[in-house]
Order: sequence, then C-alpha cells, then structure tokens
Amino acid sequence: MAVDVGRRTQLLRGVLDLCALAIMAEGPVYGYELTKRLRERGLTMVGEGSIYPLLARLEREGLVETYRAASNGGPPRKYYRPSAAGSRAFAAGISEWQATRDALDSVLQPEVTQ
Amino acid sequence: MNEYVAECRREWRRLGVSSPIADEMAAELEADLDEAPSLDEALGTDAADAHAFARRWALERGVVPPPRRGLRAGLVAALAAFALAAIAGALLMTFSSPSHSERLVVATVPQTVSVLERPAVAAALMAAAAATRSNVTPPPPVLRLATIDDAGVDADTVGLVLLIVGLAGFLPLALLASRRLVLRRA
Repeated sequence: MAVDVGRRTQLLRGVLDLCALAIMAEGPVYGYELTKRLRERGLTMVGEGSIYPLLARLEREGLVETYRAASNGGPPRKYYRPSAAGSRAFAAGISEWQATRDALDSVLQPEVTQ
Repeated sequence: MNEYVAECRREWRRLGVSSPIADEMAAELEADLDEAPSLDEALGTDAADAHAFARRWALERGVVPPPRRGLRAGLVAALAAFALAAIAGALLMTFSSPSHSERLVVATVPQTVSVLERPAVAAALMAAAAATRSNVTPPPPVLRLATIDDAGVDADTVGLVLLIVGLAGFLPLALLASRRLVLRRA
C-alpha cells in the first residue's frame, strides 16, 4: 500500500546514513553499487537518487573518505569508505538505533518485550 | 556526455558550483549511469527531474548556499506591505478626492434641502433650480459649492503619497520575485 511505502520511506530516512556506513564498512563502494547493495538487503524503497546527496553530505561532514579508481573498461569511479570519524559515528548511531528500537518495541509490541 | 548528466552539470554551473567540482560530480554520475541498465533504474523518480536532483546533491555537498528562507519570507512581507500601502492610498484618494470633499448644497433659505455628492447631478439640479426660479415664486433654492470636509485635502495628499510609495516598492519587488521564480523553474 502507498501509505505503508510512505511510512517505510520515512522510517528509513532517519537511518539511511547508518545503513550506508554499514555497507561501506564491509568494503569501499561507489554510488550505484551502494544503491544495489541496499536493495539486495531488502531496502527496495531507497530513493535511488537520494544516495548521491547522502554520500555528498557524509563527505562534507567528514564521515567518509573518497578516492577514484578505474573500473573495468569504464571511466574511473568514485569510491567511498568510512573515515575514522565515520566509524565512530556509525558505532554511536548503532547504539542510538538499538535504544530507539527497544523503546518503540515496548510501545508497539508490549507483549513481545515483556 | 549523457544528456541527463549534461543537464545536471548545467544546473550545477547555474547554481554557482565551480567548474572542477561540477566536472567531478558529473564524472561520478556518468560512470555510475554507464553501469545502470536505465536511468530510471539508477535514479528512480529523480530521473524525471535533473534540476531538482542536481540541486539537492549540490546542496548536500555544501557547494551552493542553502536557500535563504528568511529572505523569501521578507520578500513576501515587503510585497504585502507595499501592496497594502498602495491599496490604502488608492482608497484614500477615491474617498477624499476633491469631487467628494466639495459638495454642492442645494438649499432654500434658511433651510438646507439636500447635499449632493455627484457633480453631474448637482449641475442638473442647478439647471433645474435656474428653471424653477423663473416659474416659482419665492423662496427660490440657493445653490452653492461648499467644501464640507477640509481634512479631505490632507487625506488626499496622504493617499497619493501612499499610492506612489506602494507602487514604487511593489512593482520592482514583484519583478524581482517573478524573475527568481522563473529562474527557479528554468
């Protein structure tokens, strides 16, 4: 349903940077690759075009490092990986996410959490 | 260069992004789009609006200044203020113009018969009165032009000033606002 997709998109918006940092922690990625890998994990509602602005913001905030590397037969790609500050922000973000998730679960699914 | 990428690059340059940074972003996008099966697959709904996509990207990267909401609100407030001044001025001029402040009094002696606010009607009455004078015995009506409200002259001046100030402020600002709107949509 459109409402469900809209809610999931809204929920994802607040943690998309964490998801991107999590994927990058597994290895450097370029923009389109990040989109594909998020989709493979089930985040099909990721606004494809939102990845580039997100990466740009992470770069501006010093949370990622970038480098250019040649692709197979194609033009050089821009790869992203977490910086030291990005790794710290990721760890802090995971803690925040877990605390938020637990609090929400206790409200939305009290019978499960009790 | 891919037409979509070229469109993005033009938008970045139009927004004031330096040429090297615009080139770098365009190269990154083009390299990724080369791999994607289609533009829609790579960018989804953003594929339909290169300008919005490019603007958002540049904004998040910090290579263009954020939209100045305070300036926009100020522009709207100034437009409204000048429009109100112009309208108030026009209303003042309309309701305190000489044709209204000077009223024709049709009177018999010593009793006032009526006060007319329309010069044309007053003229007709004057003519009628003149005709009456020849046919009717005393007391004939006495017609005189009188300024009923002396304050009307001041109000008229104030109205004129308000109208001029309102229009002088509103028109350039409206032009500026429409130009910004056109540029944003272009």
